[in-house]
Amino acid sequence: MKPRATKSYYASWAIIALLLLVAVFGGWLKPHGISQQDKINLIPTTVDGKLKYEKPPFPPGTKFIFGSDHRGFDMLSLLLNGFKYTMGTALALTLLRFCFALPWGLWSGVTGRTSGALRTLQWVISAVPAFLFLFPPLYGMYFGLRLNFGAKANPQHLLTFTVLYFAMIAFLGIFPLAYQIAQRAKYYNEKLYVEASRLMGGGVLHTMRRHLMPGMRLELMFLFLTEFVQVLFLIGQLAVFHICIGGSETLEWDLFVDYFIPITTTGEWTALIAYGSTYIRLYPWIIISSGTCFAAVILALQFWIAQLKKRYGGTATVR
Amino acid sequence: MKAFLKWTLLGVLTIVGIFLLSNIGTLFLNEAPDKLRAIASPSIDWNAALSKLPDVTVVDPKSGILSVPYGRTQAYASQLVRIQGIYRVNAVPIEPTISWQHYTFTLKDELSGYLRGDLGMIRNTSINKDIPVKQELKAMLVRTSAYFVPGLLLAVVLGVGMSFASSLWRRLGETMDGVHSLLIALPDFFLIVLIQLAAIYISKFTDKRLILIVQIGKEVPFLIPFLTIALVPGVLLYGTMRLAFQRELAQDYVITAMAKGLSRREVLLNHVLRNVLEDLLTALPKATTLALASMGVAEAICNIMGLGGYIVNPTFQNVSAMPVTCAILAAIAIAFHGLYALLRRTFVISTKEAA
Repeated sequence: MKPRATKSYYASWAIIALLLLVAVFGGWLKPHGISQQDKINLIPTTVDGKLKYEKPPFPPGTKFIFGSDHRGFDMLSLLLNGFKYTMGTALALTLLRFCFALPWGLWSGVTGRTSGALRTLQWVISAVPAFLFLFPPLYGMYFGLRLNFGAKANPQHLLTFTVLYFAMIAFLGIFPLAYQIAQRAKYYNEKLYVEASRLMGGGVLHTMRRHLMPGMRLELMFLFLTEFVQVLFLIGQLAVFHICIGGSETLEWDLFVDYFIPITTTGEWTALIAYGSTYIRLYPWIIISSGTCFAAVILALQFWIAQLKKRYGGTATVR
Repeated sequence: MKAFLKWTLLGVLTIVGIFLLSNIGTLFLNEAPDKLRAIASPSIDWNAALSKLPDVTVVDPKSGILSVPYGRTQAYASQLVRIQGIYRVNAVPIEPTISWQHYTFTLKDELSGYLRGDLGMIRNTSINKDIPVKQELKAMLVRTSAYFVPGLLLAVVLGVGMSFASSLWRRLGETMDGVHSLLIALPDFFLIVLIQLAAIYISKFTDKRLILIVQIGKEVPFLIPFLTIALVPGVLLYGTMRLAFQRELAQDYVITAMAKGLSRREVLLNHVLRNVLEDLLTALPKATTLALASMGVAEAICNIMGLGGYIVNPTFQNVSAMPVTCAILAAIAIAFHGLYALLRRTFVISTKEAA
């Protein structure tokens, strides 16, 4: 019998619902615009009775709660607008991983085939930090296709890079995920009721669909959510190495000669983290706001997963 | 012996795979691999100017386009710029294209370079100079090991120690579990940012540079990478060991020992600790991989010229050294995994049912 729902359980659902609303309506909720006509070059201020001009990025204040970026765009508006792109990217990557890992893992767990190969590949991927597989080729591709030119980059090359970014990150996660699923599938496959079904003529597909999937549904759900958080961690890490996707523009900063600043046009969070990490000493509010929001979303997801596990126990209950 | 050979071969293949992947950048060509544009004096006599470079031919004397041996544009550019009458030498940009020829040429060139002892060059854009990576390798490894090894050791001590203490004192356990839930949700780069910001504000408040946040010359930050490497895997190890301790404390032999009058501390020290050793040795490989990833992030954010920093920091544009540095880091990761496998074989007694 599952335990009664607690206040924490309902609170976790409320937070997730809020995050979903922000993801869907963030573009409308933002307090300031983030298009070309909203750029601010100078703001006149009065200091000790004298007129002074301030150049962006502006620190947090009454007008911009989280401060602004080099274009004068409100950080809060950028974050609200970019949230859906970040969540959408992470969700797409997780779904891609599951599309391949789930059938492979289930099949391997039921038949026992390719379990050695899965174990080996899982070890290869886990033995070495993921950025060693991902960063060099993506970095080389990024500069090789001249995507550092921002808005002047060829859109077809940008699409190629985006597709390869998705493919590589998804591919890297398939083997450890499939291995985990295979281990659990093997456990359920050894149960007596599955053995009975096999003896009565149930094939591999029947076993996977009728016995393993229902038995593993809660575990798969938790695995999906955990994998989603892991993907967020990974794309955040790649962002610190300045590998991120989404539209960007290159701003020529007139304080220095030949100094260009690549900034996201959509407010995608990993791009904001990449941009903010470069200016942590001069304009810390950029990385603080984007990093805090990123960490807060992950915390909210972890809290939700913990509450779901407490309520449902992580395995299917026998009725 | 068979298993040892199998896993060694696997390790070698992994390093080879990383070497091949790290050269993927050379697959994408955006500059002509066999042409250069020389900006020269209008009255230059090309035949006389290029007499000492017989491999270089003039394609278009008006625009200064020269043909050089395939894949040797950088080497010949530095030679051509020394010729009197030639002011500057640039690459010839082309529409980005995928070139397997260039990729295989680069691989062969690098491998023959390694056989000659040439491990590639690193370009430091702040001083605009190419440095042979062999010259920097020892310093790079010492710099990285200075905080990586102590950080990892502290992570193990913290993870095991705190989980032991949490199992001993219930109140502490509840607090630590809460802290663990919070820390496990924090991305490693955000942790580094928080530590850096704390360092910046402490320096501003005390008006003294107490904690170095970026590498300045030969002064390398220690505390930030050290804390990051200690905290991130430490949190993972705490979680694993906490579950292991809880599992063992629920076992019959522990209940029997406590019923016979042994204190909780005695039971944990004399009985439980040895039985959770296997969990520690199982979690250590993942913790080490996490530590290496955190090291890379810390070196990137703090601009440290360490093993990870050379790979990911755009300031040190790897002219040709990225495959070597990637392969070295992969070899270190795999070596740690081998060490843990050896420790598991030595210290963990596997029990199987008799047939």
